[in-house]
Amino acid sequence: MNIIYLSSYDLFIAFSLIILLGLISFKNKLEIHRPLFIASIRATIQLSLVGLVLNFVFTGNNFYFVAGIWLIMLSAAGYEVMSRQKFKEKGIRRYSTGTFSMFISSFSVLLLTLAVILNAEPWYSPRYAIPILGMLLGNTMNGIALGMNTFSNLIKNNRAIIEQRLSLGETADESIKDFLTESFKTGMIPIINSMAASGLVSLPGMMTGQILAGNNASDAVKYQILILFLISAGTGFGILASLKLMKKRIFDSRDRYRMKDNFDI
Amino acid sequence: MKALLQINDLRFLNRGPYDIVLHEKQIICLSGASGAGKSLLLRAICDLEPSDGAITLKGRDKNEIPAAEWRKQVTWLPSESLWWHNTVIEHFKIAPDPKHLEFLNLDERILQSEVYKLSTGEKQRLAILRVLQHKPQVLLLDEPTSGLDPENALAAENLLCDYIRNNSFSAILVSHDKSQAQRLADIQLEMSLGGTVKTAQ
Repeated sequence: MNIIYLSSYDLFIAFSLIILLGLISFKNKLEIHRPLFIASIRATIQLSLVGLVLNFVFTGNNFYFVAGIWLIMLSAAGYEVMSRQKFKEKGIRRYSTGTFSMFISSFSVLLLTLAVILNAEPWYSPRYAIPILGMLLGNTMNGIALGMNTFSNLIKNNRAIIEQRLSLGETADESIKDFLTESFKTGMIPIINSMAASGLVSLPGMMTGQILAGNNASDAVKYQILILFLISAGTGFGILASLKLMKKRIFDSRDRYRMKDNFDI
Repeated sequence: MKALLQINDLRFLNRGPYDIVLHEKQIICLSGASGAGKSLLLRAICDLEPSDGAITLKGRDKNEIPAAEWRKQVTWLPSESLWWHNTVIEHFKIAPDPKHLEFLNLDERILQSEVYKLSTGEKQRLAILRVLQHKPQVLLLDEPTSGLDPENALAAENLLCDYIRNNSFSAILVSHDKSQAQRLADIQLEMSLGGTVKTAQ
């Protein structure tokens, strides 16, 4: 099968659509032209640089390079989760809760995939290890950020209910059980929906990319199914870990509601 | 009369120290201006507010007893009751005594009804039955009858009084109703803004 290579000229044709949209925005004072251009240029520069780095890492096959890139990806995802929280934890925890949860869920799923499912040789083979982690972090990040944000909002807004439940002799865990369930569901629903709709409503991005790059559609499907399972499992474990970490910071040793001690509310 | 609850040198949020002894079958009525810390004191006693000093129930320090167990024995009834499940009965681990329902002029069918259909007065009476479900020895009552009509307020008072006297339990009652305080209280205490407690005249 022939792959149609893209030239810079091809990309410029696509960019001209962005320019057109920008002009319309400028003329009609829709105030979106500046952020639109800045984001387009950022995407071009960032992705070009990543392309260079990945090409370098793919040929090098050096574990330390791979590990370094993993670390950068994880930090960026952790920062993103933190910035999406309305009520952030105090101190280093505002950053570490989400990052650690993604580390636990994404890395365990990644290692299992590389070593057991794909049998990549070597196991950290960058051609697999970097894109799969990227896919995992990019997607679990959304669910974890959503689950954590829902949880802290519910806990913040339902203090009176939680304290009445405590005063009726419920333990801290019992008093917030409903909120934990709701937060977990909220975080999981997007990925469950996208699994249920995949193939019918949309072709997922990775599969589209593989097909455009000339791969057999059935092979692309297998990878897509693998990725969907990994993302769902990673999201679920990640949310569970993050909520468990947050739960400990809401109550003190006597099961008293002390959210403001550990959160900026 | 045996001492049931002893509060020694209790301090919280720059308030106190408070020293209160509550004997069996005794009801102490707390009065004082808004902001004097009456509700906070009740919260500290049931251990929802961190405090220094000692609180003991029949000689056992509260910190020796798991928090959830302490709150089942020393139970707070907040002035506004909240309901988080769909139906009334879901809020009860132990179903209320039918005699108590009748005493408060509540039909047994109300247990199956949805919470949003309840009136303020029904919620307040059901909240009283809800705090009694684990048979607490000490009741911390924050204006328990403020939303009730005079007839139901009296019924609720009598139910609480009988519960305390028959079981040799006790209660601290916050009430702005002077005649209620006179009917129920064995001791009347007045809290001032400075955080001290005096015996009222």
